[in-house]
Amino acid sequence: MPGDQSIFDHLPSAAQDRAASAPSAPRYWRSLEELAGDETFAARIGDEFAEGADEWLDPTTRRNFLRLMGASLALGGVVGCSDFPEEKILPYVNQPESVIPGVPSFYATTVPFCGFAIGALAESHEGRPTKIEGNPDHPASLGASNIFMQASVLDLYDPDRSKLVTDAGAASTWGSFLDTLQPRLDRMRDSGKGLRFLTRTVTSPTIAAQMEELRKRYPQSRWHVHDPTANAGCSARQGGAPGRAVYDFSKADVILSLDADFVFSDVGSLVYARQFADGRRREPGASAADHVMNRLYVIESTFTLTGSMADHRRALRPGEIPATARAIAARLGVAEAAGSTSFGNLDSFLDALADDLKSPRDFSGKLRNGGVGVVVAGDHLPLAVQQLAYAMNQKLGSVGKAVRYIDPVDVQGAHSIESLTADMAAGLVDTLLILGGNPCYDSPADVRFTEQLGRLSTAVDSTGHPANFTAHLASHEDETSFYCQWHIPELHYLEAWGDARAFDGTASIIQPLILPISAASRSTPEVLEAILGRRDRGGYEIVRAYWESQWKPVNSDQTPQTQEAQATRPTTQPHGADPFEVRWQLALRQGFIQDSAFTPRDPGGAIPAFGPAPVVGGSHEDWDLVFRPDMGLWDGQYANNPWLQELPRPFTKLVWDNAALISYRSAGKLGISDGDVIRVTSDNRTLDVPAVILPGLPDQTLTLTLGYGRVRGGHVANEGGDVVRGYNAYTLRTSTSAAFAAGAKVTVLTGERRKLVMTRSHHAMANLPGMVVGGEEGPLKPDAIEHPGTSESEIEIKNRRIVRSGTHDDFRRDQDWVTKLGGENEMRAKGLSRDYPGRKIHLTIYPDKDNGGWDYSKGYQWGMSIDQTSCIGCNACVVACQAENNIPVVGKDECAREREMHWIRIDDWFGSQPGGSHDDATDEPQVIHMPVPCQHCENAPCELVCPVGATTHSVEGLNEMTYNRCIGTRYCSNNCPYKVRRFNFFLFADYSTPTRALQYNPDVTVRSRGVMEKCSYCVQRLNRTRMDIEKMTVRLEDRAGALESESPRKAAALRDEIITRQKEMLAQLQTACQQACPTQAIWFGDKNDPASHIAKLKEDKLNYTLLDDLTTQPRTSYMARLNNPNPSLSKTKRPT
Amino acid sequence: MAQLFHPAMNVIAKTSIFGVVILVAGAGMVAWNIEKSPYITNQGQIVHQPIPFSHEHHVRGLGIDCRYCHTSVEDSAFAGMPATKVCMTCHSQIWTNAALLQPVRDSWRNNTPIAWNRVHNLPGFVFFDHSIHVNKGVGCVTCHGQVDEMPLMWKASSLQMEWCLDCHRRPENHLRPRDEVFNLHYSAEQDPKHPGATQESLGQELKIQYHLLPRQQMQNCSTCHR
Repeated sequence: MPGDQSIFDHLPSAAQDRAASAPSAPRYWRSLEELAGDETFAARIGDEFAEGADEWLDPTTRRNFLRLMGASLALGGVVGCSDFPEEKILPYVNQPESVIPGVPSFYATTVPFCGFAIGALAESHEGRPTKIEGNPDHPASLGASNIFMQASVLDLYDPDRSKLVTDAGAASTWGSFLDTLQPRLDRMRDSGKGLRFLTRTVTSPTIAAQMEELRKRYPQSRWHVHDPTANAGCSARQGGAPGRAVYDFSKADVILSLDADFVFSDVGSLVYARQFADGRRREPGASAADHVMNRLYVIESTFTLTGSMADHRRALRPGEIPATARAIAARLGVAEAAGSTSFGNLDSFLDALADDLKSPRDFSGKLRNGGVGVVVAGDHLPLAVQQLAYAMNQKLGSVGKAVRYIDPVDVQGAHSIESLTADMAAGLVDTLLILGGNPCYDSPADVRFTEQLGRLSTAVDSTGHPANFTAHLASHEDETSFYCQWHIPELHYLEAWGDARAFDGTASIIQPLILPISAASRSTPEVLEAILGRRDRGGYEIVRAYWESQWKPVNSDQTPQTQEAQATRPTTQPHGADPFEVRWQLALRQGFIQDSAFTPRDPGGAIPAFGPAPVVGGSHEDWDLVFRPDMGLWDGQYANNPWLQELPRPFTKLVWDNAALISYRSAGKLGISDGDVIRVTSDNRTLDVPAVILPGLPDQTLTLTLGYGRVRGGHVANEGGDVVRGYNAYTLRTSTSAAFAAGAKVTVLTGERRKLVMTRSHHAMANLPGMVVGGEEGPLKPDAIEHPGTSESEIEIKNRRIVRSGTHDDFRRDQDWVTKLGGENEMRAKGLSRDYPGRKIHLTIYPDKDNGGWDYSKGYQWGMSIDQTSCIGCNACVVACQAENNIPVVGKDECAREREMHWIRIDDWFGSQPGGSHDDATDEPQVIHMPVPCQHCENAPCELVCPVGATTHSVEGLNEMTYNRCIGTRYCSNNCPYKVRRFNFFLFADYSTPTRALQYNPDVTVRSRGVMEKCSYCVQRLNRTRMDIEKMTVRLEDRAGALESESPRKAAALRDEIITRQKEMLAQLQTACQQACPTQAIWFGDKNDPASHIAKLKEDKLNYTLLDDLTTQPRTSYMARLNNPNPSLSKTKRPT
Repeated sequence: MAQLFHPAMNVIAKTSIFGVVILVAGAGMVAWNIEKSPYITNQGQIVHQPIPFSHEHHVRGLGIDCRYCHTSVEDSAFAGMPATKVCMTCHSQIWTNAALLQPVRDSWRNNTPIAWNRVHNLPGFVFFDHSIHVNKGVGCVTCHGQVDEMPLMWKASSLQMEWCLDCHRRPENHLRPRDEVFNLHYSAEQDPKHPGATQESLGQELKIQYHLLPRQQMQNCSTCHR
């Protein structure tokens, strides 16, 4: 390639040889428009914002305009002359001892996710929870959090939450609810005939005990469970499977995922993602040869975040996956799967995979000592596949190492919603209590639950009174409340006492931080307790009493009732303290009960023989449907959460909507493009959905996401009225096709389009013609794909090496590989240039510190490093940043105009797999997640152009944004090559909703209209830590000074302690994004301290900065993505 | 054509040209001064409170330390306002029937906070931290004035940015030993522990001893704005 020549011809011959043998530089794009060089895209990257972003597009007449102008002039005058606004101070009447006003406190609590516990620390400002962080000690969190945990704090303050108990829509009270229910309960005393409960997945030991008591008191009552996303994970939780699988990926050398999204969708994902990333991470500075890296194979039916991390990924139609699993099992020698092992064109891939699983090898090709492979199967796959996975793990010897099997964690013994509905139709139900969940929205379409519930609720007896009793406990008056007679507001977990178990069985206490916002709200344990006749007991007493009953036997000679009753005997007890009280307080402080995880059990039992698994739905005419929870709204329960609605979904970057994801080739066959509406018919049910093309999906397969199409979701979900956002995939989902449906038909509704907003082409970093850059130059022509509606563009999009990715092979062959990718300038800057051997050339015209520039070698110098090998693209950092920094949401229309406000965006770069060709990229792409916050350039282009000095540079290297100075010229954002600045085009911040204001972080300004904002490196956290360190230092130095005359040795020891403490306090400093990250891909710290982790990361050979050729000297740098493909599978096609 | 303007008009023309300049400059000066005057800043103006609490009486008369009521001043950004219970430690014993203290007793009885009017009110985009100033040797009196001479509370300083920066640029003019922070009558010149010291010399010494940030960093925007 001539382009290559021009760059590398300066190199010494050895380097040239290496460069020549380097794999083809994959090209990366964020959207198909970009790949195709679409005109509109190319035109757009030159602009600061999308066309029209800075225009007033709403229809405004001249008359209206004058009226508004007049009003604003008048108001401007009034505001200009106003006095300081009067403010009140309301001190406590009786200040709690532990509260220091102005200093937040953190409490351990538990976030229920899919019914399972994830430990959290809730930040409380004078009793007002503002932010959720992961609990570093909790086995399901390890300090990390996911988008749902981060966003859940906003749910607490949702103004749409129901506030009253209602009876047939009319306001009522908790008391009259119970008084109405009591005569019925009295009538069914000792039988419970017709009494039914419907809940979501329950792991709470307290609720389990209550259900048990109810069953004893009302033997004929029944408990049903319906949870639409119970099978979204990878833990083999179906009945009959070998038990609940708990993985330990830190011990796995080769991982095969069969349609299992273990890094995001499982209730243990935070831990799995960390273990997985730890298994790939390289200690900064360690030599390439010393590095060991796990290898991930993914075979899946849609694009998951796990798939994006794969070293080898194959997209198969859902019906083909069981047969593939069997073919692999046969290759591994699982006796039950013996027989035909051939799987057509996948054979060579499966051979290599099976070989690798059996005998993991290190980079030199030697067998890894004690290396182990593990197979992970998705929960939604047929039971047979999960048993096969178990058999394979047995064969591989990973059971007990990389995977263990435990008893089911969710409480067993409940019946299904199908049997409930059948009983309702048969007239066997007259009292139905739906505790949580929203079955009228999310129950299987074939069950017709809503119809039966409506009949039950509206039936009247001979006197004209309601014949039946239906009640719904829920946070909102939703679809199900509408069909129930009674509605009871449900407490948020930050308002309620409760407990739950984590993915490994660890019991965790849900501790409230705030009194209920509506006094009418109740929790599930409170409702059940009232039904058991103990109306006056609150949540605290219920949960406490349960654990007291559990822990009692420890002190007597009785046999302990549960595993944790045995395990958690406190080792030290204050003399005379009540032993229960000691343990209880410890559990509350920690947030979980120590050592209460379930112990592995012997799965035992024979594995049934597997017949040849049929390939179902493989027809070329029919379509397969894949149902997946939305990666924002999940099953729909977060539909009224604006942070999650506006969260750009991984891969598509779709906001405020869902779409049917379709492969590039299938879309071409149908002749559709993004936003075109197709009609899906499955099992005589039809649904019209807009399509979005996503590379890397199997053909003839549509991925439909759950969670949208809410009819009664709230103001956010329904745009303040009765607008239904997105489509409701539950209307196609039946009880037999919860995860997949085969045999669907798809027709194109010609001419019908839906407006979808995808932010994937927003804020694009790209080259402009005329910029001289390093790296591979040359136009990116639309030679690979024929994208509908695109044309060849004259504008060249040069490859600026924004994304640097390669195989571990590349890195081992040349440690300077990442720098060399950056081109001659970068090599000069790092002293690698042949022209100036060993000399680091200062490339900018700005002075360095020796020539009068600022000396960045003193004090704290903040820096951030983002590891693309670890980043799974889960968006936790985006929501965490939003919660920490009071970032507003703007709505769908404003997003369409590129006005979204997130301070950190995740660019998902698609490219061909390492060693793969450009043509593969649309079928089998590799995806690299790149979180992009403000880069905090030392030579920041934005600072130079601000006319009012609103954006300036701090001594510690921060690019500061001062809102009160900003006059909104937007020159800075225009001059930012990374496109990380966000402008408040309107008054996006919500000052008016009283409960909304409670969530705001009091340490960060709530920005008004007309000011620019951007990532501040969480300067409020930096300042707080710096001040805490300084306060500690001067206080202890005072004490050391006083000690000096008494005992110089003690004084010296104290001075040493000051240094130690300073380091400790600094080490605890984390930005919000770093703290949330499940894989520790984001690292932040003082890069001036050579011993710090961040300094080592910055010195590492994989470290590079974005758009390095601009010599902006960013403080945020990136670690190149490393993959670890199987050498026997790598394609040898390498251009020279 | 006859002359349009009488020669005497020259004087008027010249006067008005200069006059306009003077007028504009004058108007600017007036605006500048109004902006900095107590009319805008409320400096030195009594803020009325639900209870006419006298710092003069409690601090000078009774000798109560600042931290007895403003408990969090050494640990938090917010100095802290006394909980009703703090008032009641004494006033459940003395002046138990005083009419002036009725709001305190009401607050205690009804468990409702006393709504004090804020005297020192910073805009929402300014983040002042009491604890760091107090720990680094900035006395209460430096910003709040002779509180022990205020029968009713007013703000002694303008709290304008210029006033903040004045100290952030030259902190040595205001620093004092950490154990003298709560002393409202401290003077470096009369400090027996530092004989012969001036505020300037002592301040320079303390600036190093208390690790004050470099001058440039003290003026960084993000020090106060974020």
